[in-house]
Amino acid sequence: MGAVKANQNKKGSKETEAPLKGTWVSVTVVGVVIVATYLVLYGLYMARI
Amino acid sequence: MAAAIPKKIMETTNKAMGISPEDAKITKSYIFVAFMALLIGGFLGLIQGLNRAGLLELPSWLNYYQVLTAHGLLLILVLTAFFTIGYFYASLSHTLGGLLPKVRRIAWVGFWLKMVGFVLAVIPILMNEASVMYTFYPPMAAHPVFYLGLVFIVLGVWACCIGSFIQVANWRKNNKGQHVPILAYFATGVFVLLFFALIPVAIEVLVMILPWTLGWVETINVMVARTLFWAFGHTLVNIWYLTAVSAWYVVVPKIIGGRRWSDLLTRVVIIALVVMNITGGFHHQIIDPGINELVKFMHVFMSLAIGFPSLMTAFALFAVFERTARRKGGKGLIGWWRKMPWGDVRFLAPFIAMVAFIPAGAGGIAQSTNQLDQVVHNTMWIVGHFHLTLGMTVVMTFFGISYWLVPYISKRVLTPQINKLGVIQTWIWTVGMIFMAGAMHWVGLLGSPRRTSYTTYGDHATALGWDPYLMCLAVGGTLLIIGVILQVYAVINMMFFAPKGETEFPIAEEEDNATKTPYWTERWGIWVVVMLIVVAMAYVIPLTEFIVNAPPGSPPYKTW
Repeated sequence: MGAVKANQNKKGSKETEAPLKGTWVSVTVVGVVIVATYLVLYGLYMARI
Repeated sequence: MAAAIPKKIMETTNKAMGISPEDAKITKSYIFVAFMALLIGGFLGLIQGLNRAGLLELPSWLNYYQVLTAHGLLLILVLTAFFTIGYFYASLSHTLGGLLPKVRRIAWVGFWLKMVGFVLAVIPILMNEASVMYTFYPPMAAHPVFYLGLVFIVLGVWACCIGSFIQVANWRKNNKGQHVPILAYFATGVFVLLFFALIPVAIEVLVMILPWTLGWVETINVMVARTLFWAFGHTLVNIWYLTAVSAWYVVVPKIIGGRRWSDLLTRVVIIALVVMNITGGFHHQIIDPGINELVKFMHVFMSLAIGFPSLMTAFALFAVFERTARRKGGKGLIGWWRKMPWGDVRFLAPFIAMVAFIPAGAGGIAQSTNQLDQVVHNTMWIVGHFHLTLGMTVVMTFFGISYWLVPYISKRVLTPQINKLGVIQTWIWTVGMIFMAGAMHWVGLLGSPRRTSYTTYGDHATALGWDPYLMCLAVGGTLLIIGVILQVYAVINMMFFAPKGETEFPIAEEEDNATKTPYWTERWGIWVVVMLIVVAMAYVIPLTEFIVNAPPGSPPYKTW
């Protein structure tokens, strides 16, 4: 009985827990924009010196 | 979907909450001045944009630099300072149980000091005696009354800082061991930064520029003046940012029907932004002579350090959106975005502001690096970056805030019609800024300089190649003025004409299973000392070098 209750709780907490995969995708996009900006300016800098 | 929005808005905003009429009057006055500054400053921006594109010739009694100075002063100082103070004083009133009578008095003293200062600063600008642009770099020298006006503005802001400290200290005294409510915590961070950031610029204006423009001393140390200005200037940018971030962390989750992300993370972000901010000023001088490479390297590191709390913020906000959307039935890796309330201006405007901060922040990070900054330094790229950060990230968040704050302080409600107008305004503003800031970035990469009125440099081929981009800039500016008019109309409507009613001050709760925030986050004495140590690390050596190895100095110049 106790084990069933524990399993139910476990299942319940799993359901409310959002996976946040989309968050990581979004944060990756942020990182890509930062790196891309850096690379564009670095490319222009190298081309101009 | 459109039919569901008004009902939803009514459900989520128009709950009974109160604000005392005295406190409401303070915020109302501040917000009103802020949006009047937006209106006038916006028109000046349009004139500037059209002139810069070669589409409008200014009359002989008005010059480009005069317009630029007024545009900058109105939008960079008046709009932001008045909105920030009005918003945070309403936050302090709401979360700390009403303002103390003496704090109210201080807020009014601050208001009138700033208004007097503003009038004093505007008079010489109108007389074309202060076309020094908003950075008022020596050796360009304005009429002394312009600087006197700035002194009054500084005193007014300081008064408001002190008022907020008294309010928070009183709450802490009566609630020992409790965490200051999160919006009041944000307010504390912002006012601590304002208080300390104003010290260098007050020294610059009072001790250096005023005696110099009054003729009491013959020369000025330009490098010291520039350094003191940017210790303030850069911090001011991040004060706006921290103000916007407060709404992103606390208000937006409530509006989308979600909960706040980690309270501890939020407070750590505030502390990090307060501690590391002032030192970032030097990256505005990264091309300046007289600063050795080691010091510049340290400043690049310190400037980039500010990126960390911003990245923490990005993660926290995306996580709030995803959690909330999934709870509402959102599915898929990114399909849950569809569950966001896109028809609610109180979400849409700050959301686009957040998205704008991705390229804006990326540009800021790149510009902090010496070599990369050389590609864009003093070009229109910088102006584009500035419009992306202030014009989109900060100001669009302010617009979003206005759609619940103005009804809240006016005891009125946000109607579906004004919400719809707000959504239209948001998209017009977004398209306008993309055109304008995008063109500025691009033409900057092609070498077009900033702070320069329209010229073809004798029909030089390179300069003529900038024209299509400058035309885009003018198109963007025209769209933006439509956005300004709609926004000011919405604010006036919500302040004076919308139906009477009660509007909620939206503050999101923490997650049910949130971990307890440790009390060390409340030790503001420690954070201020750490901040001062970091500031000393950053500034003592360069300032000493500038003073000990000072060049002859410069007499005042009137270049316009």
